[in-house]
Amino acid sequence: MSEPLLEVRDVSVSFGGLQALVEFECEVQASEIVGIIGPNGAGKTTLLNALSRFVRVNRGARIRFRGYDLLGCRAHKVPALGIGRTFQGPELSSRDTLLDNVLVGGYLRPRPPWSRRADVRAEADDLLRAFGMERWASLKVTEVPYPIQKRAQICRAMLARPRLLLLDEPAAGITAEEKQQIAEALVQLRQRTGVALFVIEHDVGFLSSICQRMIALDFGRKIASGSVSEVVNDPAVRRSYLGESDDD
Amino acid sequence: MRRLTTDSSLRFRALIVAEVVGLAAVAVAADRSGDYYRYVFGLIAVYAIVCLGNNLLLGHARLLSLCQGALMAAGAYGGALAARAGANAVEMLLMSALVGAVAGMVVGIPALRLSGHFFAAVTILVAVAVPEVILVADRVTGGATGLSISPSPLSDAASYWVAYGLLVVVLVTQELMLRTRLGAELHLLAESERAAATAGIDVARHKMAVFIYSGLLAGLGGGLLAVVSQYVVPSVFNVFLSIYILVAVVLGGMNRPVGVLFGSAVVVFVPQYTVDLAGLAPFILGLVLIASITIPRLWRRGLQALAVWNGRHEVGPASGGA
Repeated sequence: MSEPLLEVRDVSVSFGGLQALVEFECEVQASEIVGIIGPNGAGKTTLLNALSRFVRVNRGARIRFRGYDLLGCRAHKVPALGIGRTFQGPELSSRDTLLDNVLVGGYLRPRPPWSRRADVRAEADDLLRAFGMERWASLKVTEVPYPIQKRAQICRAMLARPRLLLLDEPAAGITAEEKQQIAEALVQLRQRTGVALFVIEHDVGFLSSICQRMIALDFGRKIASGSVSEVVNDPAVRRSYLGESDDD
Repeated sequence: MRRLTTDSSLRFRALIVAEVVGLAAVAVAADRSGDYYRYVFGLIAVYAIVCLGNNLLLGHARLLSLCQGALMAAGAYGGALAARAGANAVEMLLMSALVGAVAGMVVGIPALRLSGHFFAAVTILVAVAVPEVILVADRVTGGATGLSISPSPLSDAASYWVAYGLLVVVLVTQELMLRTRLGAELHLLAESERAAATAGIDVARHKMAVFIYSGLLAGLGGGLLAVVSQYVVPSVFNVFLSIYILVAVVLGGMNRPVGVLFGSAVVVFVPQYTVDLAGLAPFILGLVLIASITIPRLWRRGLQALAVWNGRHEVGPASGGA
């Protein structure tokens, strides 16, 4: 088997006395969609923050991405290697239009002199269309509904043409229809660009519609991983996350 | 690289032309209105150059610095020492800008490690400390009596036109800068540093660059002030100068570069017209600042209250809301 796109070995993160992530290990293959579930405080976002190099990890940890040592990079170098990221809240510049915010992602791309600005612009328009938000493009971010702002982050990250996209609760607080639209758009994006997705989500239904594989976390530890049905039916997962007792 | 915006470039060009023509008209009109107005409007141009630096810093990168006056002092003394050593006008102003930029870097290296209010607090310390340092280093700076630059490397008239020429250049440059990707990047990092990092922006380097830019313009403004007044004394560069610069930028709207022209005019005119009310200028400017922030809010809230009230009376049950 070829080398995985992302290889995480023995990563722990602690905040003072709190162990947010304990000896976490996983691999992500190119073009794979991996879902992460777990109750609040399980360490899901901390895991993304470790991959984004926002938090300090333990000594002896190893994170390799496309053969590069991620732990040797500063945070702003990570996206240049091909890792995109979104946040739980819409972290956009509220003074610019939605389109301008999306275009920020395009600055990351190496631009050969013969490339045209219009190409980047056309790609941004395509992305906005794929997520059903083209009519908001020229509005100021403050005039745009919250879920649309959140989705704009996906477009911003995708415009940089990442190999791996880290999504932090992309389907939180939106309607079932919108969830389906996002799920379809994400699957299509993956087919078209070959991007791998690492998705944190509470909605197991949403995840199972897009993921090949799932990882469950609780108290910073990986408690299960495998196919969607394996993880969902895992007794430990049912106990800690889905809120069922053993007697059921 | 130009930023791809939905903004029409035609409108932008018209705006630039309007700004330059308007500024030229004001400069000529003030020049024709006698020595006093030429002095006052020259001062406005000098303030505006300094404020443009702070506009990018506070308005766009959202970094609250209260030491722009101290950076002006660095530029003024750097320029004055150069002039006394025989530098011509160009060399002197280059020296001022350079010293301002270096001072910005020296302050920025430790201060930018802090964020938000802590950064502002450190810059206040700088603003308070610099006049004292000037007094202590009296062998170089002349202490409380200051340094005179006579003969000045520029005549009064020449320095006036140089100030306006530089103002136009800095103004147009900043308009263009904000149209590039830099504008969008600064806005993003002002809102969320981690989102900026995930967009590949080196946050620390961007902040430092903007702070150095503001120091460069403050230094240049300080040098111009030294030329205009042919004298530098530490008392000019007190904490209030920094606060005035802040007030001017806030009054200017903290967005479009052209706004600082209005803010600078207020900040220069208020002390000019309150000379008789000795020492009241800071108080009045403080009131102006508070009013400029609260009145639009009260106005909006007043309209809302009116709408709610109106709704209650006409529609019946309370239908109004926020």
